Amino acid sequence: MRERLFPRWGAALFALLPLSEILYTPATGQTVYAAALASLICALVCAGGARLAPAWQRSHVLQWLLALFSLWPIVTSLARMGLFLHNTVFSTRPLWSLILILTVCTLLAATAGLNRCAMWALPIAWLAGAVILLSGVLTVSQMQPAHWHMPGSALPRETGQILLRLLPAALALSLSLPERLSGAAARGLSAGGALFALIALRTTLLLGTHTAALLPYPNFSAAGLAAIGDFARHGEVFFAVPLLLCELGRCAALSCVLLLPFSHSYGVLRLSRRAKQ
Amino acid sequence: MKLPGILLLLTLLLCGCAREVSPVSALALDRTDDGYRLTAEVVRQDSLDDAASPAYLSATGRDLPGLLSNLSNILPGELYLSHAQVLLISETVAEESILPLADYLCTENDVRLSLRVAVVRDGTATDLLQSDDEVYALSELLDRAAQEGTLPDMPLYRVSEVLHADGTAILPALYLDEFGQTAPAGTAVFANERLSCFLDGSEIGGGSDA
Amino acid sequence: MDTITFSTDLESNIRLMQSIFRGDNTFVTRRAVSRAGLSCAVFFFDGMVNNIAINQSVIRPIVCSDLSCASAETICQTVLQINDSRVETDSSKLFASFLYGDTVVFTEGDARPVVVNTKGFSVRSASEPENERVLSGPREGFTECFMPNLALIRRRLNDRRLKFTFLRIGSRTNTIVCLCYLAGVCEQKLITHLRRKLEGLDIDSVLDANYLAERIRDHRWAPFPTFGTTERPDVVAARLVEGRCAVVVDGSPVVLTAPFLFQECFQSNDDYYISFLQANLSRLLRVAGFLFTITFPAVYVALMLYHRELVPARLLFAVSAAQRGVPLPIGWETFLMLLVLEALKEAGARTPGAMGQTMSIVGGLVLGQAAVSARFAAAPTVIVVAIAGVTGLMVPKLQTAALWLRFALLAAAAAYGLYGVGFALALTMTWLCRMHSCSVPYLLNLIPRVQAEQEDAWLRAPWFFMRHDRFAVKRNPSKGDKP
Repeated sequence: MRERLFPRWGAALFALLPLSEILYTPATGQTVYAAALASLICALVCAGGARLAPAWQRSHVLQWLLALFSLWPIVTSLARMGLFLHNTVFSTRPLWSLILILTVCTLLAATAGLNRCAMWALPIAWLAGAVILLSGVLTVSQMQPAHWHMPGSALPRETGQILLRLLPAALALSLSLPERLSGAAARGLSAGGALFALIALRTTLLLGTHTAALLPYPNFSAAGLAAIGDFARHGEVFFAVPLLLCELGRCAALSCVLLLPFSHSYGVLRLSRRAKQ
Repeated sequence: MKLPGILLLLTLLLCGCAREVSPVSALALDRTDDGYRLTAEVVRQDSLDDAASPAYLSATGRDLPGLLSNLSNILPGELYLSHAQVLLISETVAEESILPLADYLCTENDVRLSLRVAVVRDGTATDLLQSDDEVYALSELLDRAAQEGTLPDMPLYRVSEVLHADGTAILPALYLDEFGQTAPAGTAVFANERLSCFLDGSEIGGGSDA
Repeated sequence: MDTITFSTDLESNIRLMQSIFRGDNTFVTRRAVSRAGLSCAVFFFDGMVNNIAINQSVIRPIVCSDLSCASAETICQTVLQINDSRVETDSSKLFASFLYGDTVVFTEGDARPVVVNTKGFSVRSASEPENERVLSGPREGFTECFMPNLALIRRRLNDRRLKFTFLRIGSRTNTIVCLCYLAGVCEQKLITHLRRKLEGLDIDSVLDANYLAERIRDHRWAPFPTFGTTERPDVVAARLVEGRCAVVVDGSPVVLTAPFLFQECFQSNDDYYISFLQANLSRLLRVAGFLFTITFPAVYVALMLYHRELVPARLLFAVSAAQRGVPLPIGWETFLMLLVLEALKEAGARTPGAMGQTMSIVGGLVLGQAAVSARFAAAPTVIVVAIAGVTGLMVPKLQTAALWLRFALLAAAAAYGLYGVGFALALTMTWLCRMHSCSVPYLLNLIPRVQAEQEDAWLRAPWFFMRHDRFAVKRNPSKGDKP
């Protein structure tokens, strides 16, 4: 039986995409606008992509092309997650071992199928949203409105950079949706994009653009300034874990897209002959 | 079930020893004839019943990476800066450009961005650091003063930002009073990334009478 | 059992029965002859029957009868003075009833035996189950006796739609298993699914409900329960009203209910019998307790190995001081302490009565203190493990899951810190998302939220808000409910 992918799950799955960009995006004065703009463009493109999905899926060639295309965001995601862990906590571990363990986790999650990944995305998206908001609230008193920047000439370039990372994954997913979920895709990307922009704003107002430019992961470092009394000072990891889970969800969903031509089922990935029955 | 079991065991085998670390609660940086001297307040606690007590270790070198490396060589465990909350710099150090120092500390993974930097007036930073036997007394003093508004609230990330923006900054100043106790000494003003002058309470309008 | 054919000759029937049960000293043969000369033979097992019923309702009516010759039907209809008797021609059913405490009566000239319900073995009284105690509410519990168990259910559900369907499972034990459901409330698909699974079992013996539960459950390797178990008739009645099925097994006080959803792990009988304000707080505490018991040792190890910057400075210094001199790395130390905790729990559970309590006190206090003094373990580790152990008791239905997850998360924490814990929890969540119980999603009402079923998911709504037709599992969201 083909199971239904509910709009709310679909929206959560798409919300993971902008959220998983947060850790790696620099915080210049333009990032707030660029994040919002890129997410909005993505939402529009994906809404269109989701409408095209049924037609797209009728062609085996296009499906294969999409599967190959999804390789790119998967590989970049795994690589940047591995690098992030290597640069922040596990500097003594070989990079390949970190990427390997991330790949294993991704595949384990992907075997559940696209529907279950989307179902799983719902609590993860809520968790990430809650952590982002809590982190923001805890640092409000330290923010300096003077660090605010108006949109400038660097905005198109930054928007393009974010789009380059966000759009391939979003497009691959929207074209693989089992049902017409264009509204859900747009809602998810918009909600995720709003949180993305908010956190970029927090980093800019907190650290300032110059300090942020010094840091390899400014949004991550800024989260370290959120503390509850003497507890969780330097607590970036509490911020990073849900965001990495978002990225894991994104990789798992894209892996489902990658394996879609083999699986014949949106529900649970089955490579055996049983799936064709 | 076998596979998860094997994976679990393999992962357990990866359990590493917790590395022995020497946690630093505060640092003091002084200028010497041929470079700098970095003094670290290392926290020692031997048993649950004891109170944490400070121990002071110094190293000399020509730049901050070298100083930290030399310091870690003489420490019993790995130099652990994550719990360092204060960096004291002497007047002579502050008279040079402090921007590279702030930048370096910002980019160090271990160092907290909320580390408070203070300038020591009329004396060495090491003397002031060693004047108090209680761990974290200095950071508590600076926190309280920042909250009350008697000293500038300038954690490391803010110092770096303002210095990058236009090279001017204000930092809290401390000194050892006649009783040998640490006391606020107004504000150190930086221009072009260098210490320019000190302002006491009356000059910035917050004091009683001059 | 092979088919056995009886003859019209009473003596040959007596010989046949005696040859079948040769060597069984509880087998009793009683000849009874009426005033007019009608010969009958009465067979029963000593200890399994109600002697008064046999004497007064079977033997006396035969002896006092004026019939000289009678068929099995006549004996059944006009002689025996008992509420339940029948002529049985199927030898397998005959022996099943006979072995279960019924009495068999043969009469001269008829090959067909009469089966009389004279069951009368001693049973335990319906006391409150030890592991499902409530502060207020009904205190009756199931016993090992089958029919009284069904009566306990029926007494609570006076509904003509309540059905009890009997099956016989186990080629040696021939155990009666009863499938209970409310027709029209429970989905027919669920009934068929369970019935097919039960009928498909080819096993020798069923001595407890768990013999069946492990065989017919979905996700056999998962540590999360996919069948509910209870010893309380009120719980079974509530489950039946919600559209679930129950499986009652003869000889076991434990009744299975299906489907079983994850949310039920955090529900307690008390939740429905005390104020919703208190019940909901308790339920939230149970959820927190479960999360705490599985993550606390792992988070402790992760913090001390990889994220010491997160620990408040003075606490870190104290824990580091306590760790000094302990021979094992903190991951292994916690792992071994958790094993010791499980060993103590096992010893406490297997040791009788007061001695078990003494074991726990000796183990918990004396050994813990001694281990810390001797530097076998650090005091913070003992505290962490003890807290994990105590909070683990808050959700008894998830004790197996908590045990395994605690170790798995500990391993993940030791290897990859809080990131490892996060990933391990996320993969566990994926697992839960994939799970089903009798084709109903395991996380129904939690993630695939059906709006109408929210009254008793995370929290219990007050009774005045609760609709009376809250069939939690009747609808499958995969078929069109809009969450």
